[in-house]
Amino acid sequence: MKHLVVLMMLAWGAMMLEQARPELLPAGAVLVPLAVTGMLWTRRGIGVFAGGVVLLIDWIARPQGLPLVPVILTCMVAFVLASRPSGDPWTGRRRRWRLPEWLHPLALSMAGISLLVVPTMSMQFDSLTILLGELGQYAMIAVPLSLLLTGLMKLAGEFGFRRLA
Amino acid sequence: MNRTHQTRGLLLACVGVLLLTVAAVGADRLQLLSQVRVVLHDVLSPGRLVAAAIAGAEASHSNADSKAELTALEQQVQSTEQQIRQLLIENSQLNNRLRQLKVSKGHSGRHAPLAGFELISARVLSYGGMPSGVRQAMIDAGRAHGLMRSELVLDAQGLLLDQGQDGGVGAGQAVLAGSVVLGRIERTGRWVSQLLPVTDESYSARVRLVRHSSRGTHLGAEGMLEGTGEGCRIIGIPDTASVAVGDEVFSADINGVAGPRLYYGTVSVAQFESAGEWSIEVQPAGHLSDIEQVAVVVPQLNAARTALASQQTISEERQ
Repeated sequence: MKHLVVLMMLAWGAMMLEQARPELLPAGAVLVPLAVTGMLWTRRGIGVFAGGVVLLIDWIARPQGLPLVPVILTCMVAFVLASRPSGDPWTGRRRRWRLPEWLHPLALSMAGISLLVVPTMSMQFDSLTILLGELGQYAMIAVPLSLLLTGLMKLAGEFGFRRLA
Repeated sequence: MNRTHQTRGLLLACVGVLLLTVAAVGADRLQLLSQVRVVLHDVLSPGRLVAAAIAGAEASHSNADSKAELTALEQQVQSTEQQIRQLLIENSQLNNRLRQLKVSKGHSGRHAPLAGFELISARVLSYGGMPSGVRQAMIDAGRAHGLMRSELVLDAQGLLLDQGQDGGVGAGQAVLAGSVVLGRIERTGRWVSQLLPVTDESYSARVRLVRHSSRGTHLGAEGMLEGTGEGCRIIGIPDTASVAVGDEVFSADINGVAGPRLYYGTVSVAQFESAGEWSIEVQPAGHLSDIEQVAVVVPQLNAARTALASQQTISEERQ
């Protein structure tokens, strides 16, 4: 339960920062990696639900098009968690996915950001170059943040702050 | 944990988020979420304002550092504007001369101006008269060359320049900073000279008003600029002339010789007087407090004209 409280507080801080400095932090560049990490941290339905609610609250505060990110990203995370082999995911057991475990948060975060950016750009009929530029701006924030949170998640597992099974 | 239990939990989470999302979209379409948004933004406001305040404090620190750059840029802009004004005046003069040449159908060396001007660079030696240390050093150095004290030292207050008679500087010559008139040379010694600023009550010079408009540069009335102790004023312009605040004041001549227009400042006050003249106050453009280097305008004969005259004399003698 305390993990959910911490996730909510961090999500509040991320939303506050994104609103305070929109020129530096595009909307969702901080919140999406944080929500994905929160969902993967608990590895349970309640964590995934809390992450989805955080993303939905962000959409309510800043509505833009349809709320694809809360629904699709939640389902993607749930699928990834359901597909993982049981036991400690950080051990060297045979996995279905070829993508390394530590890249899951990053891939899911980028998928969530793509769901934020692509519908907006396609509605404006912008070119691919502009789209990639926009994604790049998000990636400059989201990629290092996601990797940092992934590292923290692993450290938490090593030190016993996160349940591994 | 049981794998099936975990999968069920994940599935329930997805369904729960989906239902909430559908409900949120429906509520939004029915305009039911506006109050919720207000509450959300109120909850986010304290932190958002703190972050914005921190960002504003950082911006103000960087602004303080860039104020010096801003001041330097403003000075550069002012000097550039002065140069532009000077170039506009010279351009109009050149156009007039070109028209004259076209009328006269050509020119020869005899149409070159006889008198020109040279600029002698000088540095400000002192802002408040001759310093005692410099005075004594000059006396000692001059004594070795057999010079009298009166030739070396100027016992006077005011701005002192480090050019004097041996540099070609003479009394009455105009002193410029860029193209702005600071004053004229009042007295000269062998190595130093004293500046009489334009604001001094004993300063006077013939000036002409100039006005810039979208249709070009227009030369206005001529008058006499005098110092008032704190600023300048122009007298002698009848109330039938057109004068307006913002008109620029240029020299009508340089020591009585027609030449390039030198800039004095702008008209700050223009009112009718009962004596049938304008009461005009001028804001001088030059500031003596931050001047380090000046130029003294020295009249000179055109070497080409004097050489031509000597050649003619020689040829006449031969004949």
